[in-house]
Amino acid sequence: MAITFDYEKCSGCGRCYDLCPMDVIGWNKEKNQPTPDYSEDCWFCGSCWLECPDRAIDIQYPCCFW
Amino acid sequence: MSPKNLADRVYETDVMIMGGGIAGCYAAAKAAERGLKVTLVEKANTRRSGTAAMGMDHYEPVKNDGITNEGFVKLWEARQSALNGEGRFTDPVMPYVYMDKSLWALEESERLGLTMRWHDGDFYFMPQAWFGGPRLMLRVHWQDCKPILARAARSAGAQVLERTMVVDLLTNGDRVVGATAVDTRTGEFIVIKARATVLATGIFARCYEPEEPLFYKYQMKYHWCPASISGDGYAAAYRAGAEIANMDITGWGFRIRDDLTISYGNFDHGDGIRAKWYTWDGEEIPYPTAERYREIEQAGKDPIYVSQSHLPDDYHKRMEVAFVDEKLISFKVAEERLFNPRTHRYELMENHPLNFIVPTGAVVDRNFKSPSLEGLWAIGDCSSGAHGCGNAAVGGLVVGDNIHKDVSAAPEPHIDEGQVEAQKQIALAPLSVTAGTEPIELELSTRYICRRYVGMLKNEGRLREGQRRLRTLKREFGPKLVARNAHGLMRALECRNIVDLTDVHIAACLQRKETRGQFIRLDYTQRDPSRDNMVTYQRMKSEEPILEIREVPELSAASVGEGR
Repeated sequence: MAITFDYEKCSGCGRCYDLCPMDVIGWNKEKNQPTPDYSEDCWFCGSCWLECPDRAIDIQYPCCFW
Repeated sequence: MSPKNLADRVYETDVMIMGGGIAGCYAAAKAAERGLKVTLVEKANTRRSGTAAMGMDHYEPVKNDGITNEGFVKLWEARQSALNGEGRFTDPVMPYVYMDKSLWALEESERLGLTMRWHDGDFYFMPQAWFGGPRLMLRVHWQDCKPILARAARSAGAQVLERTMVVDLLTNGDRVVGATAVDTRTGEFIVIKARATVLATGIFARCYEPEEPLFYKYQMKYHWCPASISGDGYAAAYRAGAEIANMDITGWGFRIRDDLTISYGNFDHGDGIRAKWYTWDGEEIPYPTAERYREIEQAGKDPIYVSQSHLPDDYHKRMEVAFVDEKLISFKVAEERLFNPRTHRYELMENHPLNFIVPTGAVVDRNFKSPSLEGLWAIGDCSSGAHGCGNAAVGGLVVGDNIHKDVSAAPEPHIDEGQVEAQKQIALAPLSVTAGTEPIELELSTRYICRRYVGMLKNEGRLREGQRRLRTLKREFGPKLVARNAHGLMRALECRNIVDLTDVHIAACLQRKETRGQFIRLDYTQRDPSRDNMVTYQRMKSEEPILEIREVPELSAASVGEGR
């Protein structure tokens, strides 16, 4: 998994959904939460991780990059 | 019928800018300050998009150490020739302009709110580890350059269309009159009528593989530029009939096995001290060229490693500040992999083509105007002969500062509804395809063609076979691209651009029957003297591809004097 969200920390501000350069992140309107809709498009730039005000996003490098 | 019947939204504007990266934001801010109605169209979000999405640690060139404009042109050409061999590849007036306007661009950048100075209030010029000579590169703390520039563009009054991907330019005869686009979140089809159109998108890379090896799923993991680099601006210019140049010249590089996010640039910057290169058994070697790398490999001396462990502690600290400025996540990735850049060595892998960068792009004159089409400009990486943020800044500022003269003289843009309808069909077709081909499938097949049939070492037979296969793929699978939603439409449109530009790339390589610099033809191993200073120019005319070889002009008093 490229990005994971810690929904306990997430305040639902939507910043990651707004900013992702590759449009990897979707939005669940009912739960007001981000979803990793297109994680195969992620290029691991860390924009969401950098911008998240709640530190609720983690990015893991998959084994194929090690 | 009017565009309103065909489009979900229609915008009318003075200046449309395609691409909201560094160049696009500078241009938007400056043109809007000049009182123009500006519409900035960006595929992602201008706050974190483009090549500097996560930040930037260096900015060049800036006039320093007594360099003259002419002196910089010589230095620029020497750098180009170090990679591409003897001769001129781009119009020398471009580096002349970049140097000439650099101090003005520096002032303007500070005025727009960018941090250009070091903590002590002074500029910090980096020592040049590689090329010697004058220090022209600033180290900058630019982690937030994109949010700052995006805000500058907005507060100057520019209208920003985020998540909007341009499909194609609209033309009326030889004049560009705007573009069509799709909203990549809602799928709405958009028409933008503009008196002036500025292309400010990034480089093109996605016809070659990402730098990282061993991927299986994450095919977008490009290394030092964002994976959005599908050449949208190049492709739009080319299809509309504007010339693009040097599509035979791929930037090339080594794959750095352990350099997962850490800026490769730091190896050669090293704040003045060069990295060291070793064979696996510890023999120090000079920086390996492609040829030298092959020799080492054949002698069984690989892997080659690159190390910076000889740098003093304070130099490592400065480099760590550079990671913060350019890509903060570097620390996290290095830490998780237990990779310490201070002590560990990086493994170097094969040398391979990466992307189309410095000499490649839309051909422009010294005012960044396309000589082929009226009403069209190109700046930053999208223009031929530009590279990096300093050039993007100058291009954006020069265009933004002067475009009002052309806008006021431009006729009312006339939109051809037939053209809009045709582009709409192309843009939205993947939504109604069922059981078709995923864009990533066609994209990967295209990358495979480039790796197998073009690559570093080219020959006639492979290039022809690659061209044949690519055209077969395009004919067969282009119309079968499938998109489930608006996000998928964006990937399908990117794929169309990638396939079109790959065709242009292969045609350019086939035509060039010589070996020069990193352009290696195994069947033509000598430099062709009749191609000295000659460049490949390509464009579309009435649906037909045109390829011309012409001489690049010399730097002359006349070319220097034509600027605004």
